[in-house]
Amino acid sequence: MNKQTTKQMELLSDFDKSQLVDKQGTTASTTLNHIDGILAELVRVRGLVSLDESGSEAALQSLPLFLKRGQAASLESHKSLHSSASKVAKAVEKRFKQDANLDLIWNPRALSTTTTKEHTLNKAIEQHLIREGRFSLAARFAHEAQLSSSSSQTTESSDDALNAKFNDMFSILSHIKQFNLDPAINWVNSHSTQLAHIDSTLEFSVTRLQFLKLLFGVAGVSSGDRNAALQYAQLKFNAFKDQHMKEIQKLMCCLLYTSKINQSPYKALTETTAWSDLSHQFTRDFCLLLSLPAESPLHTCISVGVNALPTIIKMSSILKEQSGLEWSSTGELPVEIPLLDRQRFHSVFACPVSKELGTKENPPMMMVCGHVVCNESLKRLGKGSMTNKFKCPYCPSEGKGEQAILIHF
Amino acid sequence: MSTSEAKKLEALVALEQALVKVPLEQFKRAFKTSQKHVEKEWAALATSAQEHIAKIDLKNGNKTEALKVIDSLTTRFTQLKKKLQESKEEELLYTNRIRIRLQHLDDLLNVPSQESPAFTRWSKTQLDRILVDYMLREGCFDSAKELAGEAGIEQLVDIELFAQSKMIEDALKRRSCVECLAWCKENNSALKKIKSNLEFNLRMQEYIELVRAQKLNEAILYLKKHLTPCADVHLKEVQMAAALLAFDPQTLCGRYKSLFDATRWNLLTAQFRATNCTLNTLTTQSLLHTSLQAGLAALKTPQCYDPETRNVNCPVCNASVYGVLAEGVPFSHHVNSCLVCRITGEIMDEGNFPMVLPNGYVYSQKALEEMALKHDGVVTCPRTGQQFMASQMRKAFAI
Repeated sequence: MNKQTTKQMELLSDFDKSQLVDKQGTTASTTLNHIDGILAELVRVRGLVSLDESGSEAALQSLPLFLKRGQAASLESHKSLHSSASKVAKAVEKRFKQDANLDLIWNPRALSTTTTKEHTLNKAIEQHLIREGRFSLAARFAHEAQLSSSSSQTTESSDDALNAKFNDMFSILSHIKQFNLDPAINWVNSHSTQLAHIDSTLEFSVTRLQFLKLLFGVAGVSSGDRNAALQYAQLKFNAFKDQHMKEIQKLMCCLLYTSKINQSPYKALTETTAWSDLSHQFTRDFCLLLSLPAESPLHTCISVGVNALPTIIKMSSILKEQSGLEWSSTGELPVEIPLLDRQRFHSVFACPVSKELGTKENPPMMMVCGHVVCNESLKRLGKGSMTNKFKCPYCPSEGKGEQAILIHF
Repeated sequence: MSTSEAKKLEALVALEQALVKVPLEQFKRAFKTSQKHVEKEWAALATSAQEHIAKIDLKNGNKTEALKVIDSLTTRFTQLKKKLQESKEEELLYTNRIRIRLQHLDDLLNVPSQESPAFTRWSKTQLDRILVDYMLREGCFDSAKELAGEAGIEQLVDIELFAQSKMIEDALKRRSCVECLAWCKENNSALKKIKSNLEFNLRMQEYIELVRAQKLNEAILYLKKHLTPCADVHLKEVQMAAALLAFDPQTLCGRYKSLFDATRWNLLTAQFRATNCTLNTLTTQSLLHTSLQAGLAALKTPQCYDPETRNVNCPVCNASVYGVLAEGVPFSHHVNSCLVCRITGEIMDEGNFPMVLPNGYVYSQKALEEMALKHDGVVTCPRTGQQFMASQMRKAFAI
């Protein structure tokens, strides 16, 4: 385990070591017990006094001391709790001492210049909630954020359409969760042509899983039935023979091993992750058919943004010190923000010679050897002429500028 | 896990300090209250009991007096018990909450990598937290509660804090300073520490309202009682306040006209909001705004605004929503080439070479080979519709 991980563990274990929660329990019970004791004593003394019992005088006179003792005891226990609490507070201060002040990088003009932007942002949230299947919440939020009053009729109806479509999707997904593929099969059958158009293999994936379900059964839901699986295969697999022959061969071979599948090379076919994989594929292809991104765009933006914040905070303070600029008022960020591979959506071509980015005016060109440089660099390499022969800067081959072809990433 | 990955996670944790500090502050406050009950109130009860009991002489028939003292003690200790029970419950709520939140951060540091499902789950929860925070700040309490409940993150968001804040803000909107002044009293020491002038501004406003109503005698008394004691710090304002007595609310004299201006109430609301955030170590802006702005800048490229190069998966390419939001933020900056396959969305590099078709369009090796396998060696360029033999494609070297 590395240093950073143990550091956080420390804060958690510091907290546990301080026994704050335990001490709190003891302090609370000590304090309340003493008060209960006092209340009981008050009842007792009252009884004595009202009946003129002997000893009532002494009992009454000792009351103040009794009250003080209880107070002292519970104060003591509060002090011990206080020391635990300040230990935790110190540990927290130490852990978060670096001042990541998010307010510093906030530019009020960037997102909320106009009420339209506020509205757009709320709209984005509503769409996100719909995408997540939180339909009633989306409606509630739209109402609370007063989205409907200012939006026009047309956008509202398009929202309803979106709502209905995602409703379908989530109902199918919830059936998949319960190992019921029938609604999914119906849906892929009715969208067969569109799915083929986007090169989706969803239809086969659903059929394949249905076959496996028939063959092996699902724990607690159904038991395996080899004959049913075989019949299903004869009925369905023919349609997929062109594209999925290999997988069909594998599926049919595993029929031979049904009784001892766990010792066979086909063990992987029984894993239940296939069901969550199918849910993922279904979501992705469903969205693709609607020309919607596979991930919620809000989720993408926020997770990229949160990842970018540490860099932006650092950059912002440097920028402010050096030139008094707000980071968000520049045309282009001065530094590169690290992105995960799945968060990259556009090709970036930086010419290895000039370091300039490829643009329409200065597009990437591939030379005869396959190396790519930008058009400006190509001209410079040929000393201003496209017909001059020159050596590629990256390999021994020679070529002319005119032989290079324009490429599109 | 690699060191750089651990560092990234560490930086993410550093952003979340409010998550731990908010309940810690709340705990400290609840603890102080219960300690005060024990230290002051209980002690005072004991002292007064002593004084009263010392005076009683049972033999001389002071029995009723004695019973009265005992009864009053019983009532007051019962009250004290109730108060202590309440603040103890509050304390426990917050310490448990700190524990849960530390565990939540610990979960983040223990994800195997940023590509793992565990991380995706964590970041989904984070998004839900950020959304609840935004909804609370926008006053959408019902939505916030519903989302927190559905996502099971009640302990990771600060609904009570914003509910209290909302109550005070609403009071200010009704032009009542009482609730906010009570809040100032509760947080007196913390406000002094940050040298806040919120209380003075509230007092000033109450004074102005008295003058507006032309209750001049009351106004003078109020001025003496609440404003002049602050003269050492706010002498100018106190002088202006005194001079205000000479003007009627319809005055056109700039300086005094502005004192009567109704927008001062909005400023008070805003000041209260900001002060409340500072005291609770919350950012004054929602994390949604800040991270969305950062995320849009990191994703924004010139290609997002060109219909030819739009990508359905890219948020900024969504012209009607995120494209609009991204208008005011800068473009991202890139130094190195990074090629994304237009068919699969995967990165093209040594493991999955960029391949050029004879028409100059580039796709990943994986995508083209898969296509060729399905269609007997024929590949179709999705952007132009032209068909080629797979053997015609060649590797591009873009370093």
